[in-house]
Amino acid sequence: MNFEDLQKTWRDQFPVGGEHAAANEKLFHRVRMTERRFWAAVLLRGAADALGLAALAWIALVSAQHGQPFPQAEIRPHREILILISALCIGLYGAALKLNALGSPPVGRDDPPTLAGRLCRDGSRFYALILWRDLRETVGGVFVLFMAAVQACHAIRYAALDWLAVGLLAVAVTGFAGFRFTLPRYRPLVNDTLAGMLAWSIEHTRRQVTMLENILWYLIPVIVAVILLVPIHGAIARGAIHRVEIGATLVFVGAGLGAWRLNRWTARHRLRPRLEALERLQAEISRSGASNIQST
Amino acid sequence: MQSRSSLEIKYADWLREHRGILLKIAASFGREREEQADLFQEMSIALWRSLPAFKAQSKTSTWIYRVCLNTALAWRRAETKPRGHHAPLELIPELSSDAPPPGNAHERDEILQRLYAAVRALPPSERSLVILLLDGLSYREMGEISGLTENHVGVALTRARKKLAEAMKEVGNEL
Repeated sequence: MNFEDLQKTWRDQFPVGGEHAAANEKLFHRVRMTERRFWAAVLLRGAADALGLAALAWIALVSAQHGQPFPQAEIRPHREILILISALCIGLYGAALKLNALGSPPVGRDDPPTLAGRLCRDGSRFYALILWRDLRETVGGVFVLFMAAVQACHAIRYAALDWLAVGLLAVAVTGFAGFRFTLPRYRPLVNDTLAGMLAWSIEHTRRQVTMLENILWYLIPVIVAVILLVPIHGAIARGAIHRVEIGATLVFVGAGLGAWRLNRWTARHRLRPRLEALERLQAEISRSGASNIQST
Repeated sequence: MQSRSSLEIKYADWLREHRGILLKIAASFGREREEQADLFQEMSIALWRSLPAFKAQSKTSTWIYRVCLNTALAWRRAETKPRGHHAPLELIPELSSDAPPPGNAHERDEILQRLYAAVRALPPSERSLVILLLDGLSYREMGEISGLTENHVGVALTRARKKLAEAMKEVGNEL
């Protein structure tokens, strides 16, 4: 069999115009469902972000206005509303995550003309996600610092233990900032060839992997500080350990472990495969002479 | 702006006429049938999303190859997809079920199986070019689709054809 025969066998395997109306209809239905799921997930995440931000602003406002430790009777309604909002936020994020897992990864509204363009577009989308996550972390960081300052003011007047918590928070925030500082900086993309984009993507993906894989070291002081500030502070104020304090401690430890596992999972199952794929492509391109590749 | 219904009609036409392109790419990039169905679905979604951007400046088939190969190159096997959420297998046919009834279907199937195995063994960028070569596209069209120069396409294809010939030696191909 020569090459022309092989080509003919290849081309004839799926003749044009076969009767596939039912299969095409089913496929079209799945495409429409994926689109709807994707946009529903975007809406849910947006709602969760807005709700979370409103809750943080509310806590910050109430804490700043209050000049002394909250009496238990006053704390209860605030606490219940906050637990409800947190549960709602977690539920919304969970639903958004599930919708995205059921649908396809967001591949964009249109497709670029070449592989280099595709990679560039994928990269922009990926870094937009990272930027959004960084923004969330920054808002969280500002909130933690603000609360630490408020708590420090209260601690000066009411309890020495809080200083330890404030100290731990300061260590966590400073450590996190320092750790990020030691990693390679984000650089603007100056070389739009495929090879240039690959190197840029690899460098930044590696940075994200390092950050997510080391999250435990800046998560531990935050969790310990929050436990000191909330359940232990409450127990000392009331002079006894109740089920509420034990429950709250377990919830905070669980949330910390959950955050750690989620970040580690993301690094291992999302970022590492992406990094490996990029490195494979880079090796392949450098083997075949990247200089021949047209930039788009 | 095109109405939703006109896009739907165009999409249905594309699927009817060029379904083979998607199936061949899915079978060249996915090993198991489940993976092929997932990739087929991903490419279909990418194709749907690319529809509003299609300005008919290139041939429809060129556009479809471009979108589908880009999707396939960036696609990763969805190992983490929840159980039961893979694309249904009936979306794609068995490799031979769409074919016209030839005299020696068994031999043809065997050649195709070997050919797909050989294509899948190639690195992804060479794999894309070999699919286009087997479909009879010119170097210029391959360059348009892949973003490579014609010169680079030629160099990469020479290397890929050698590997393919090695893999297909037993069926007596003169590649």
